[in-house]
Amino acid sequence: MEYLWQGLIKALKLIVSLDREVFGIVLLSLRVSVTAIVLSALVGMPLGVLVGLRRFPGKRLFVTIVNTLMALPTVVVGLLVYTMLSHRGPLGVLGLLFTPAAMITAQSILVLPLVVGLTIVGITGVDPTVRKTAVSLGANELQAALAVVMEARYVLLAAIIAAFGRAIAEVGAAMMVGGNIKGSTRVITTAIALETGKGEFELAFALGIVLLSVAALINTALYKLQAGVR
Amino acid sequence: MSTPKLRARELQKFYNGRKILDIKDLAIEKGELCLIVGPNGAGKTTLLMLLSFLDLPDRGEVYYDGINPNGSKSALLSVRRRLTLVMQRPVIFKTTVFKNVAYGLRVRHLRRGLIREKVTRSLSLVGLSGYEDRNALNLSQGEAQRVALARAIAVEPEVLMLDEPTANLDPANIRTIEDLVRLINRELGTTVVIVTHDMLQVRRLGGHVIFLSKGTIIREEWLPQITPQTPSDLWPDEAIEGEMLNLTTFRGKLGTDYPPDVVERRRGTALKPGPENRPANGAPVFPTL
Ligand SMILES: Nc1ncnc2c1ncn2[C@@H]1O[C@H](COP(=O)(O)OP(=O)(O)OP(=O)(O)O)[C@@H](O)[C@H]1O
Ligand SMILES: [Mg+2]
Repeated sequence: MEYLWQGLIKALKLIVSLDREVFGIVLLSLRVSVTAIVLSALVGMPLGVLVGLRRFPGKRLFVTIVNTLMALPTVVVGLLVYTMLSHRGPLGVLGLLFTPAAMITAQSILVLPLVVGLTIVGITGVDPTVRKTAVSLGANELQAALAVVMEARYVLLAAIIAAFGRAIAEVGAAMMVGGNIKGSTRVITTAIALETGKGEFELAFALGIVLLSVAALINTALYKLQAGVR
Repeated sequence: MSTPKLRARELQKFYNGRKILDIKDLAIEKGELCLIVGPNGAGKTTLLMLLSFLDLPDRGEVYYDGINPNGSKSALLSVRRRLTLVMQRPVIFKTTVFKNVAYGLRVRHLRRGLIREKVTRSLSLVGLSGYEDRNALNLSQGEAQRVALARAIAVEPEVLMLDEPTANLDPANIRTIEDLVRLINRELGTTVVIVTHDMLQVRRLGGHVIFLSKGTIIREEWLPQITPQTPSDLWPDEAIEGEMLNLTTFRGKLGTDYPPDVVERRRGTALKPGPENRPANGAPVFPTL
């Protein structure tokens, strides 16, 4: 048990002293996941809004597929992106494998279904008379759609936060397409996996604490948002 | 005769194969105060949704100033910007009262200063001055109803449609709204279409009354639009009449024993307000059956 306590204490020291390595890893993690979220939100939110507002043949099927993909295993996404980006893959010439860009791509794909699915839930949850009210007050189609989005804003924000939580906590894809290269593609989760494997716990503990704090922050934000809806 | 403001012809609406609405011919003239009355499920809301072009009929046409905009996006938008509807259970956007009332003005890209001015005026007209910064989610039902009304009149529509605007209000606020309706109708010349259950309200407001039952117009009357002089004109023996004029009497054939001083049967201009056109206190406007 002793070495656990010592590891924990050293970990806290690492955090308090703003250790360069810890700091660099955390920063990269945030950069990769935030970028991935922004990208998938830019694509996923408009798509989710469109699907949520429109009626079209195959909508049910689309929603079912999206819902299924919400639980997409991270290693499957890793495999997919790896094969696309590897030398022999169709996008191999870009030379993106084992770069942060590859990790961003993988995480974007990973959370896209989550963003789309939760956006659809949020939009379809808005009282349909909101749109009619907007129209009766002179809104054109786009303005009416925006009014619906505004009504769903808390749910949409919650979707973003949930997606971020999934992105920053995943290991599989980041490990496979990032390669866990020190100083370049090593993020919180891959570093924890590596250090634990090596039996060196202090860095792993330090990063674990940071990750937990991020998770706690996310949960608080989500809770606050849900309280705001009521 | 000039083109009616709104006209419906051979209008039909079906839900699940059931015919909900069947209107042969209905004309609402410019500047008219039009009251649509009828029991629950008569199709009043359905009719209003069609007349405001928020819903499409299954058969027939609705004309606005002689033009049927259904089918053309640009014509629809232009007509929708000239009329507005306050729904039976109005939705208040999850934001401040100010932003709610400003909504119709913002989508028309009005100047900020002008928006502020119009919002302030509209709120004061519905008796909600100073409510601008209130969270619209925390309003009482009656306040919410009036915010919805303020939001509608802020855009200064040519036609204002109100689906049971006073159903959730207390007597004082009903009076405020009815006075406001008279003001808008008479001073601004706005065409007003109101759905109501309240036969006393019909009597208090007067105008072109359309009786709807099972989706069809069973009768049209033109009642004098009285200008209330004393409160007793507005609220005559409320309790007794409320009983007599309750909508449960809305069956069978109507109209043979209307007091002649109350009902102007000829179609045409509204009667001039005056004591001779005011119903005697306590006299039922509509027969008890
Ligand atoms: N979307 C819908 N789907 C199916 N049936 C509907 C729909 N809307 C209305 N109806 C039916 O159409 C009929 C007329 O409804 P409508 O709401 O127009 O009545 P109303 O006169 O406004 O009644 P109330 O006084 O209760 O408001 C009712 O029988 C109602 O059940
Ligand atoms: Mg109704």
